[in-house]
Amino acid sequence: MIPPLVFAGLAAGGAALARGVFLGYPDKRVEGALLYGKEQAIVAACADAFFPPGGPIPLSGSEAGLVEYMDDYVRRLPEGQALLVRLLLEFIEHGPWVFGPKRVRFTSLGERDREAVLESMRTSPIYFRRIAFLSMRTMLTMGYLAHPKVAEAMKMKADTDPFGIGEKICEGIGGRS
Amino acid sequence: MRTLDVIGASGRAAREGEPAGRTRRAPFDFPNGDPHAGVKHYDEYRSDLELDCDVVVVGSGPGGAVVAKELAEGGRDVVLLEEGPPFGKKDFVQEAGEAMHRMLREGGTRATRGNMFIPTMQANALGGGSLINSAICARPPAWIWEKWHRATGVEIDDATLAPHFDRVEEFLFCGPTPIEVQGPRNLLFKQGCDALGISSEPTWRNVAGCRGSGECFTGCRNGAKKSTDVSYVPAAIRAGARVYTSVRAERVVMEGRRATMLLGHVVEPFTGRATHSVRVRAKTIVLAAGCMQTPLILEESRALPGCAWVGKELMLHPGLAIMAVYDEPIDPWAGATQGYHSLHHLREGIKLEVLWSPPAVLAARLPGLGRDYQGHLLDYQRMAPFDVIIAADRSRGEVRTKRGSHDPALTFDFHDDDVKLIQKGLGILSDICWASGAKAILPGIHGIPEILHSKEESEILRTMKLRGSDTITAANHAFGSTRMSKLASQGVVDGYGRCHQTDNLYIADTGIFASSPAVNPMLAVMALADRIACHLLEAG
Repeated sequence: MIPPLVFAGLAAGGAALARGVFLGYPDKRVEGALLYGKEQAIVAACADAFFPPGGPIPLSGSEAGLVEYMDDYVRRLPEGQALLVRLLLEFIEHGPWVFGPKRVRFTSLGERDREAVLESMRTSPIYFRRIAFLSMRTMLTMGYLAHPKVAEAMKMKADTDPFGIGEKICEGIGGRS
Repeated sequence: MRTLDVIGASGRAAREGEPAGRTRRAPFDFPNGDPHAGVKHYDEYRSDLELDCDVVVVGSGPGGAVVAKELAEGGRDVVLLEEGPPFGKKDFVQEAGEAMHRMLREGGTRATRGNMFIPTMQANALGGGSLINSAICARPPAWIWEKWHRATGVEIDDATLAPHFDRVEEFLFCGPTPIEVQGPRNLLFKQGCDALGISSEPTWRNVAGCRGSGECFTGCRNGAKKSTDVSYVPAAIRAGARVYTSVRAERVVMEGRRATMLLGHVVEPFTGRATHSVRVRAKTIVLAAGCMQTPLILEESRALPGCAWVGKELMLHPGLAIMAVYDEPIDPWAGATQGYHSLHHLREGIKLEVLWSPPAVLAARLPGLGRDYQGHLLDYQRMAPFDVIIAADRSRGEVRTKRGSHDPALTFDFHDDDVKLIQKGLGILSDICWASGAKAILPGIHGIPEILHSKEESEILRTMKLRGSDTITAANHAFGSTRMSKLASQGVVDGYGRCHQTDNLYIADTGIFASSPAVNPMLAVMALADRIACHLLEAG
């Protein structure tokens, strides 16, 4: 039989853990989304840490629709891969409990501390943390660069005939110079 | 119709000594302009499929499509199965995430596990990898075949293979990338090589009418790339082959030494949900599902009991890219995807290339976070990615079925000696960057400065103690998982792709490679597939 004090301690610990892991998140930002409200909050926090408002590209991650993008992205992935992405979100969210800088979840941190968390992942001596960072940044960068305003700011053109020589090339078809 | 320096509308003509009816060049004149006319789509399946044929070929990529076309033109009744759907020009999207989801297995998130993660990809589409690769057609040097012969005892040499290479190159309009579509990114690489006295050359590619849109990875919206879905597959259909897409091959039924039937399912595009069952009875079965998928079919079939080589000996060409940064904009998105390369160090196992893929994917090499990262994205127009790939002869991996799925679980250990080799290539690559006029290099390697501002600073790329896990290494050339050998005890197939323990089960994909082809593997697997088809026709 568990002594009452130990039981109370375990119960309090369990409640704190449950609160830390599951509670206090906003409702879903995107209606009909696959990602839970918590997951959307993590994506939004990452999106604006990677692509902050007022930066050299005048569009933040949230403004570029990265929460919606990630939701679509995860929805389209095979089940196993989708699970890995969701675990990645959890890893980022609760990483500060282990790696700092403060023992709170990622979404509870201020802008600077969020950047510090991601920076420590980026430069971490732990390979897995660096991979987690790269995976998250690559997925969000795909969404960010897909936004026309970002592409415009980068002067990035998707042009099927960038040299304007299509017809000339086609006349000598065969692909030989 | 476009005027071709070939042989008339049908593209059919026999060369002296060649079987009549063999098509020499990929057709251009498609019914209603649709290169996929005659291809069975998912929407057309109403019930279970029961088919009989002479030969069933699994996979429509560079291996399978060649076999299907050649055998159909040789008078065989051929069924070609492809798990992915067909993609037309209008189906191609440029957004990296969506493109990968639609055209790649596992949404493009596949990676090997082992002493590091190495992203790798496999197409899931009519045309297989030829739909999304850079169309590079490179012949392995003669010494590769000598090496394969020494390693496996298989009678294979340059002279024997030359006619097969000739035929494939002619059919696919292979030729050097024209100067008009190179664009600054490719020409800067050439400039750097020239300045250092390193030989380089325009890549030979299977294209006709390339405009340098740099969109090979997400599918050619110009229709210039002669991927197998618009070349070999339509030619096979003209010769009577039946082509079924959205059909997943799962198991070969064996009766003693003979493969008698192939079992599988119709699967919904993009979800993989199985709907109808598929049974194909055939006199010969050719697996060309790719070196990551064919071993799974063999494993599921228990077709080769006691063979210890199935799924073993997986080899890759690990590749590492760095970004050269220039003073002026060079618009890297314009120009042939990989228009130039250097084979100067090929004998050492090093191939140097220009690289391009969706910018978001390459951005993994960019340093910084937040505003800093955004700043680097703004500088993208001044960057050119160059990469080194190596013949990682010491590194090995394995292909096994992932539990509860039809996807492979891949392991691969990047050997320290091969890491040293890629580091050597990295040093040469950085020299090329500086010689081409770069003002900085973004190496994207953990543990060294994120921006190298001078040739002196970049010496660290040579002197540092590099570990594989410090790098962002990717590998899209995979081979060796069902290797060829003269003796049954040393491999899975013989020199003609026949599984040793069987009379009529063949493999025609990169799995049969004995080791690295030193260059991009597509042309080699097509030539080998052509040889396998010729052998099957001769065998009667």
